[in-house]
Amino acid sequence: MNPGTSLYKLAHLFAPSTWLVISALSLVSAVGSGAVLLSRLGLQVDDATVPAYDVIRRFSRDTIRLTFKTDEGPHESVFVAPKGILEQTTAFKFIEKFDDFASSVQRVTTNPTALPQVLDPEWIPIFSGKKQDLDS
Amino acid sequence: MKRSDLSYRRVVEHIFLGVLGVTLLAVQTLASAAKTKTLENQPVSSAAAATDKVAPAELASGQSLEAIYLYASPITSVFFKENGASYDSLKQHWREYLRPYGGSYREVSRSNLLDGLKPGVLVLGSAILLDAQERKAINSFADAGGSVLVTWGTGARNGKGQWAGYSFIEELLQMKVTGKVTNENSEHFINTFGDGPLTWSLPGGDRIFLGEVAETPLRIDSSNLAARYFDWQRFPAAKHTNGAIAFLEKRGSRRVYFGFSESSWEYDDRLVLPKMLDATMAWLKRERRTFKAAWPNGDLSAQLLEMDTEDKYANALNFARHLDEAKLKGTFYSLTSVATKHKEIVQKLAEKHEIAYHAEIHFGFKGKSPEVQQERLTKMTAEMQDIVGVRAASKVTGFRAPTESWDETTEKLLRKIGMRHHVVGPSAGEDRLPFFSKSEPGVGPEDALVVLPRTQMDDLNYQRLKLDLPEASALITLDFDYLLESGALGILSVHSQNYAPDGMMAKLTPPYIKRLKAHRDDIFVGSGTDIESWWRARERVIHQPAKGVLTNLIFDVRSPGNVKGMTFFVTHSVAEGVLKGVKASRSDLPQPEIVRIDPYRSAIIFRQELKAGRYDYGLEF
Repeated sequence: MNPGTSLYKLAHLFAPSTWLVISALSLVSAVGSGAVLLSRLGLQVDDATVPAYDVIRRFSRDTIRLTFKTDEGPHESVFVAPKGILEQTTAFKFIEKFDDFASSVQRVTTNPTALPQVLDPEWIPIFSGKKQDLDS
Repeated sequence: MKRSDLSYRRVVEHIFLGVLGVTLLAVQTLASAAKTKTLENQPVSSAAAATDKVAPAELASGQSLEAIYLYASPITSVFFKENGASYDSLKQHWREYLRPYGGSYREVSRSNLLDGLKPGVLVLGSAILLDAQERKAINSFADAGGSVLVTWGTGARNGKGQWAGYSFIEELLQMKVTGKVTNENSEHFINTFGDGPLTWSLPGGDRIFLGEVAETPLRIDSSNLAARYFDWQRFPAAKHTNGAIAFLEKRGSRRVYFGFSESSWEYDDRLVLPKMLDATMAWLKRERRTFKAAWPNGDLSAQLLEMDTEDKYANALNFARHLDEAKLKGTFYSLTSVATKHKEIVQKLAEKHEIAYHAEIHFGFKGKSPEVQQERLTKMTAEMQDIVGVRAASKVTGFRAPTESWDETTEKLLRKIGMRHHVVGPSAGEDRLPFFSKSEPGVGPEDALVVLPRTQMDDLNYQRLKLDLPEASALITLDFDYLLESGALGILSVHSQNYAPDGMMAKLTPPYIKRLKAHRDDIFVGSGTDIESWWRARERVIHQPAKGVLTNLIFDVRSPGNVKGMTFFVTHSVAEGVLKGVKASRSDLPQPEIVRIDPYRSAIIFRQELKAGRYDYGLEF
């Protein structure tokens, strides 16, 4: 970086340790803001952040493991199901209510067909992506 | 890197992940709130579900099933989410696998299930939570003739998430859950049963890595298994402890259970699980399939009895006597520098058995230069010519490397000096069947070296384990049973120095041979060359398993033909739905024999020699 540039000057305005403190305070502020936002939605911060943190951590670790075919530790388990789900004595948060799903894959009632004009050399297709283009 | 740097990195990483987590949760919460509103406004029971009412009368015996349902299990999904996990991560594997089934596959809701589904294949992938209504609906679906595929701990918790045990899957499959494969255990592989009704699409004893997953696989005990858990070296553990895949047909309803969760699919680098699933789904859909059997004449597995003949060469006669008493042919892989001192014993052995090479001295070949390896092999063949004569030496075509140490160079040189088969150790491949050498990919099956992997424990393994006779006897018996059920090639390898008349192997082998004789109708016992010749002949038969309604068997035999004992297995659409007839399309075609193998398979056996050409038969059920 050129010492004469504004970015260089800005970067050297404070010592690295001061920048670290500023960054940390910014992150804490972001967490605090997130927590306030969640509390407005009626959620308990502790209950909400822990599983979310776990989800992120699992995701990052799985990404590393599956990308590089390795893991952080040779015997460190990556959980997909809740830890200890097949242990009789594990304490879990039981559920009282749930929403059913609608069928996510609907039965295909019509066979896919090509447009009748697809092999017509005279046909000039318009690819705007709108349905009327296909119907015309 | 300094320790303080590591701590600093960790703190920053945790703060960063925490912030990300909070943001993600906020987004997820908003999305979830929006979705709940949508669901409230829209009735769950869709028009499609209404068309899926149970219609038992529609299901004729043996009729194939078209529909495949993946159960969405909303209760499991909510429970996972409430407890910091994602059920979608497990279910997604099924979605990806089932997508190619197109219109016949759909994901079904709880309402769809409770309303009743037309008979089809219902997949319950790790649906851990099932309430009483769901259990009742699944049982009704099965009672109406539907097929069910269940994985891992399905039904182990009730509708609220409280522990319910394994009675649901145990009753559905008539099996017993006997434990877990924890990460402290080493049994992180399954071995599939070759030529089996559910797993025929994979070679016998295929070793599939399941990973060291947190979703610990469940061990099961069942009379109908399709795969077992093993460690890498396939140590034969007690039978009730290592069942991995079970199946059952009960009053027309077919059921399959996988003891491992979908998390393990991520470790399937060779992509063999989808192949296995194809065969399993065909069985559940009651679709008949034909496939080429691994072994001739309807045999279910094969066995080579061999001796690494080196120190204490004269003990070879003890082993030969045991083989002779049972009228079985074995192979003696001889260390030629020792064999030259026992010419008369070699000639005696050669009268009824096969003589092959075990190199000239007992040192491995791996990593040696081509020149050194060539020099050793030249010396080896010269010594054999001196022992048995030039003409007889030209018929010695088997090789087994000392300490099972060899490399690509070894195999290339072996083929050049006329070797036809090579007995190797358990690390050469992932399954328990012979294969063509991979050292020279361009060489065709008529010329390539046939590699015979020793995946069975040998006398050195027993010695290392310091077992007494009863313990070793129990292990060798288990090994025998596991080889048979997995359709494998067993190679019982003993060393001449361990075959003294009072030695452990001389006591273990006769009962083993006795068991082999008792299974003469379903085990192909041959020398190394017999097995090599069969494998080469089998390769000449080209058969593409037909999909859809099975009405005929078509295959080609490549030149030079000479295929005797060729066998095809046919899976039944219903238990005991044995193949009734095979009708040749031309009068000049040989008529095969039909043999019932078990309730789920028949064999079509061509005992006659098949010449090169096309063969076309109609099948009658």
